[in-house]
Amino acid sequence: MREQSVAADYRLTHASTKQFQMARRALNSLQRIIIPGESCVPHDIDVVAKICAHHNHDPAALLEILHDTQEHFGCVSDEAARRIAQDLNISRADIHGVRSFYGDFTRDTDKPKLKLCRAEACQAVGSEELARRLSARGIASETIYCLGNCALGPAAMIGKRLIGRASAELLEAELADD
Amino acid sequence: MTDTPRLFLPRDAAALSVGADGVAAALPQDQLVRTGSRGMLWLEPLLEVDTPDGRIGFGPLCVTDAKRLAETGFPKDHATCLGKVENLPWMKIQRRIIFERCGVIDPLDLDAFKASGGLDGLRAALASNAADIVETVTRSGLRGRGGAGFPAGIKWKTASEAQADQKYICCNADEGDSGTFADRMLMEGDPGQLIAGMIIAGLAVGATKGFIYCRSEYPHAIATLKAAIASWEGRGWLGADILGSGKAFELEVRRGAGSYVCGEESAMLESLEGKRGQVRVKPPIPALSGLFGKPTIVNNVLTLASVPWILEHGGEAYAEIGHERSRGTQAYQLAGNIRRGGMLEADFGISLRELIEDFGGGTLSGRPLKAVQVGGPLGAYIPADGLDLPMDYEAFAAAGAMLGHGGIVVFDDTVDMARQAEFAMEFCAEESCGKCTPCRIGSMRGAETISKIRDGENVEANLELVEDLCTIMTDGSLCAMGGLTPMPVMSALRHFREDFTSSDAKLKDTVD
Repeated sequence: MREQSVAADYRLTHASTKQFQMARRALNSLQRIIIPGESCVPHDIDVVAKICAHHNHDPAALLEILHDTQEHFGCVSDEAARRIAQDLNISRADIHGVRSFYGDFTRDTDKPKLKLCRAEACQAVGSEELARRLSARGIASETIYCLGNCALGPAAMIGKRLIGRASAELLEAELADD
Repeated sequence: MTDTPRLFLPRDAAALSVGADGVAAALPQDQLVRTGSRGMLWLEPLLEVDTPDGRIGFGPLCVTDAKRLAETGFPKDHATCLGKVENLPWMKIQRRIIFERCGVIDPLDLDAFKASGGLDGLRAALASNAADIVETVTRSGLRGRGGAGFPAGIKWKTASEAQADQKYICCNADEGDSGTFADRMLMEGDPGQLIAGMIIAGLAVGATKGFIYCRSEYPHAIATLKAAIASWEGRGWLGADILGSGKAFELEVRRGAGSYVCGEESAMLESLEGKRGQVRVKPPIPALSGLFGKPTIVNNVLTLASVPWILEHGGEAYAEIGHERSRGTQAYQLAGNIRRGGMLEADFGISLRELIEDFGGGTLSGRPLKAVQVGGPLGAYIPADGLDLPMDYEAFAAAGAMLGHGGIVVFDDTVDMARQAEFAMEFCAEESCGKCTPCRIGSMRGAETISKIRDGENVEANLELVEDLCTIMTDGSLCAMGGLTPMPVMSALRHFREDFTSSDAKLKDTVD
């Protein structure tokens, strides 16, 4: 019953956004929600409570709280979402809505380390070809639209390190250093 | 030159992205000052050495060169020596109002900020009254630099006249447009200019709380802003008693989370409230009912950063600069396939051709230029023969294009404009907030239909369909996301129709 309502809520909120993520991705997420079981790795939930307290339990600071959680654990797990909902006195559906709207937040620790800009300025200097070369080397990357390094593209980012004039070789070396 | 001249090296994210930290490590640390960037990004990492007759530039530097230069006392005959930085053609043309200190001082050195007149505009505002500040900004003719070009004075007047127990100043630093990075450069290179501008806006409309909504893709800018705010508070320049005036203003940095549409002002306000970044229906306008339903000024970084100069020199002085109805200076950002990419601040009215050919030096690849996209992903594609356009809001609008945030992305002749049109639709579908149907569904259908055209399927009929769809998106979308996505699509179609009709599919068919 609970799962059904979560799924219905999910469908409702998702019916109106990110259509381009296509049916397959939506279906995958839907299955993940319907099938019971926690996302992400087990972790110290007290950290989440501390993060909420640091932001004065302010619901308006939800993005900051989710950022801190994502940075600390590499994801915003269902368990963490539950704790945030409790501490901020907002619904889990609200948290899920926000988590799924913004590209920075993930439910699982499945975000690639490498961010690759695929927006126009980087396209103009071969970011699409670079993306193909990276995937040929088996290097996963997250698509980002603009890293603000548009005069020195293709641009990429590993952690908080910005890389300009990127090539597949350079990025492979940078990833190995990381 | 003294034996131990001061050395200036940017720690701007763009400079770091091409190895500025490595160069810094090779230099004598006690002489080194880390600054923002001058905007000549093709020369980064660009080292400047202080001499009695001005700063001498060396760049672009590698670690080996930096070591060698440090050992030999920075000789002017070194291959990387550029001579006096102020005399470089790129610098000479500029009129730096917003970026006056960017690349010159350590962005977190408050004494250097104060010594270079950083507080003068704020002091003038504190000595003035709210109505006069609004009047000065109105007289300056300052228009919103975020893209829409709305007169700042009118917005401020509306908010100042609204009655409320709390008002807010929100700085839109969600600079998501590809090809733009001037906001980032300013936040990293001279955050004080922005902070001062926000305090002045607060004084003008009676707001005591401000937020800077900065995109999460800019970790360096966020860190610099936070550090700058903390030190301003430490000095009593910000907080309960600004410079001993008894006036209060609090400032906080909030991170975006990877959503392009949050650059739209009402979506940004939703996001600042901790919600999904969905666009609000207007009216009410944010100046009357914005953040938490309170009167709110939402201005772009560069709009707010222009304000201290206006207060210092007067509205008339600012209004004397510029072209037609676009007053003041604009930060032009040369990006994409360009030999000399970077940012320059100059008066409105300079032509696109001058910027690209004289300053940019043409394409990086050396191939002929095919198209230029001005104003980000929602801006029009302009063909090579249309570059004589003056940089001015109205001139661009008349040409079916938009100046936007001043980003200029150059493409060479290898670009397939049908693919660019398809990407514009895909991008809208990916980033649409989903609130209104023309944007949410229209972009999907647009991407599918252009894909069919590229595959050579019913080309003429589908082109008609795309044009029809674009009309609906333009007329029926709630905000600029869906409303302007047709701009790159239709401009590509108008100027490069052959890219759509002579589809690769026909070639593919013969190859297969």
